[in-house]
Amino acid sequence: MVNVPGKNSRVVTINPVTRIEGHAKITVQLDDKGNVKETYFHVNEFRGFEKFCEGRLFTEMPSITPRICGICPVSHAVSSAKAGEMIMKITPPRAGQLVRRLIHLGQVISSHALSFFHLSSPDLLLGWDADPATRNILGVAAQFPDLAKRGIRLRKFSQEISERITGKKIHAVGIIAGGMLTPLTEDHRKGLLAWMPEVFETTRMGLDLFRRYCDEHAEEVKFFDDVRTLYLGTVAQDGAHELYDGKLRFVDADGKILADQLDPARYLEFIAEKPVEWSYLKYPFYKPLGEKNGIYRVGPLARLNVASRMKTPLAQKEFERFRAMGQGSLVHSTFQYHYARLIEILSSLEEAEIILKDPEVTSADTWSKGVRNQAEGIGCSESPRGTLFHHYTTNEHGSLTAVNLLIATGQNNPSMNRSLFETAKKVLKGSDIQEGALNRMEGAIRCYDPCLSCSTHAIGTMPMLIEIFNASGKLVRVLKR
Amino acid sequence: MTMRSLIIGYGNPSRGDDAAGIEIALAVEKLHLPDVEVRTCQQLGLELAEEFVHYEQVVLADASANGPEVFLENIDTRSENGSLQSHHLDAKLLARTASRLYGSQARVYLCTVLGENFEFGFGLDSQVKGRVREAVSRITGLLTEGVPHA
Repeated sequence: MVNVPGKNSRVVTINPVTRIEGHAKITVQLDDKGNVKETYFHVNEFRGFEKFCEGRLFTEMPSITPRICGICPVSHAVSSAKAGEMIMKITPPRAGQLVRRLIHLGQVISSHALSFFHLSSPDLLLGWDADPATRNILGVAAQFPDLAKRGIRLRKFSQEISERITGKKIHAVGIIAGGMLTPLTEDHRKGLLAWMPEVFETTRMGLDLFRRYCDEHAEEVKFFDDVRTLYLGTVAQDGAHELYDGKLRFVDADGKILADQLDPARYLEFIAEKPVEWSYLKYPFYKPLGEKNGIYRVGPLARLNVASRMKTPLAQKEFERFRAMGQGSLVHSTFQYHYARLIEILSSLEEAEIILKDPEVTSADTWSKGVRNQAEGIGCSESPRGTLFHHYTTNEHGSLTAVNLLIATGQNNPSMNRSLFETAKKVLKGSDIQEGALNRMEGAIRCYDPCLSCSTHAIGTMPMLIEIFNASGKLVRVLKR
Repeated sequence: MTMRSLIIGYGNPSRGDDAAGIEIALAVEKLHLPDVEVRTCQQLGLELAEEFVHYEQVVLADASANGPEVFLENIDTRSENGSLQSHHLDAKLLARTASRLYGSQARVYLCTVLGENFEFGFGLDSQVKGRVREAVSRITGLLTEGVPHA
């Protein structure tokens, strides 16, 4: 429980935000009556990849850029490899594409499983006001051991996809411009297929849990906002949900398609970024509508709002239930990011099973060779958190002269701040601030499953720093725990 | 009669002496001791906990930034200590999870060697190489005689 003492208290800070990937803090400014006046989601870490990769060879980037993150390294490797393929003007062989799709799907499953079962289920199962010391996966394991084990094994399966293909669970090697260095063996193919019944069942349990939670805690769900934004995701030619190799689609808050089947190489025509003073994350926006009206979201919720359909039958059924919540329009509730995430686990499993049954997936022909044929390359894929762009410019030797990485979480930055503000207004009333209220604010951020770096953070213990400023902005007191 | 044993060496091989845990595990592997399996990984994860049920003893080997030069001790799985991060957890928590969530009866040991240099780069400091040899000797005693060599 946190009290903000004194009638001059005006600012509440949550530092760090827990159970997310990376480091961030939240600042809330209160007015004279103790109501929320403004909120800020500060990303206070700086990575610098765009700068220190200058001078490296573009062919090195699929090995370097996965180090940006320990949760979505495959997405970086895939987008990087695709940028390299554009520079070389080559296309991987079909087997290489299949194996790359498979490892990409594995990562989506891994990341989404971590987000739901490890980071978010503690709030759903133990309660938002539960003791922070046990409000984590270990607390879930103590009370719901079967679910905890299943969540752990779902993640284990998806890591095994990477390990069986590349030899490593994290920061896989072998995703290269041109395809995949190593093929999938027949033994590994069978080994992965053997997992399928279990992981489908685990996903079903997750879906049932989430739906039950929403039914039984409708009032709690209302603490999280409906943010009407634009949405961006990649889709297949027929508008189907597509994570690996789609074209860009923007839709507005009513579901009207604003731009469709855009080549990701044209992303700068449609996306601009604005820096802000309080965070290292910038504010991207949809250029044709400007800063104020161009805020868009990416990630699972966005992808299911832009897609016309899912590619696989089980996921399609869930997609129809999901979209029905919008009652003819889109689903704007930030809390439903969790539902969308579970649907994507399901669709990824279905698609992975199809790939594993494809006779060509074990072919040894997984890699095309090439050389630099043009200066510029842009690679795009849907990382677990949203659309990811790698944009490289090279000199005649293939050394990078410029690198631009547009990361999914950065594109959600304006919306995360907005969601935080809306949730804070509902849960913070007056000067007696309860710990559960702060957790709900963190929960608003957690819906987006932001990935702020490859850093980790403490779960269960919540170090907190509260800085109290008077009306003149002078720091008058500091509370720590 | 030897016990079924698992040695897990973990650390970042591109951060100097952080590779010590992995080097310990690989050195034990070369001894080809009966009923001993060896794994290496970059960090411990909850996914490893269920493996413990297949063994009678587990040794987790790592580098340390402080503490004794060579340390080998049984982990008390009843203890509430331990730290959990979203990417990895420490040895004590892994042992506790294996015991409580999976009912593992394995005796779990933590073996650490003091590192001198954790900067980017490959290869162990010469002092650390000596500590690794000492750690391997102690672990070998544990595996062959049930008692860690002093």
